[in-house]
Amino acid sequence: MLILTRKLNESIMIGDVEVKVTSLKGDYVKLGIKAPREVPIHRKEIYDVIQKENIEAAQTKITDISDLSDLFKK
Amino acid sequence: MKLQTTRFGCLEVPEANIIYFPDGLIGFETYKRYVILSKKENAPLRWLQCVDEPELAFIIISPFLFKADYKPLVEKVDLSSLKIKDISEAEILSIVVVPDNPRDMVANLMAPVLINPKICIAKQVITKDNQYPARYRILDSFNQNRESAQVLSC
Repeated sequence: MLILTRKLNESIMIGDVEVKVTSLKGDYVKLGIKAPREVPIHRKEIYDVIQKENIEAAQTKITDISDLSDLFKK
Repeated sequence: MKLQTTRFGCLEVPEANIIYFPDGLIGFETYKRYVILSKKENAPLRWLQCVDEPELAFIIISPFLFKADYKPLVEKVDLSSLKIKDISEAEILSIVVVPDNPRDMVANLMAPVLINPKICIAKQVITKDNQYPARYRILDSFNQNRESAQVLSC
């Protein structure tokens, strides 16, 4: 992993994406991100949660969901 | 076209039924073409079957079946990538995880699948607010909402 030191209001460029340190407060760093609209930007922990759910969903051993549909009947 | 699947054998599927995910699903970015399979027309649970990988399939459900007031907030850029202006133009599906005890099945309300049924383009979007969980217990709330079932096409 490349590690760079930046001060407040300094930026780095990743391709055409700019990431700027906009505020520092204790343990919190605020980052400003300037990127083309089509570049998806997510907090990593959220992305990880969704990826984990999708992987778990894809690993289902179930082949027939007809029985499960019965659970939706009263 | 002929569709090879691990679970359902070889199926004949009209090409018009293929739903294209330009970004794939999160964690499965390389797979971009899916079809929705169901034995019965109005079955609550259906399959989102990958066209290009026989083994890859997800159980899906309409979130409105168990959460009638589901109203995810979505980034504008996600809507425009589906060529829609408002989320009401999209069909919304949730991916389901069914554990050993199926009564504990959960749906991902944090990252629903949005489909533009007119052009069969879809995307799994991450909702903006933290209002909805990634593991929402379906059957706990199903009984209160069963009148609100919606039928999807595409």
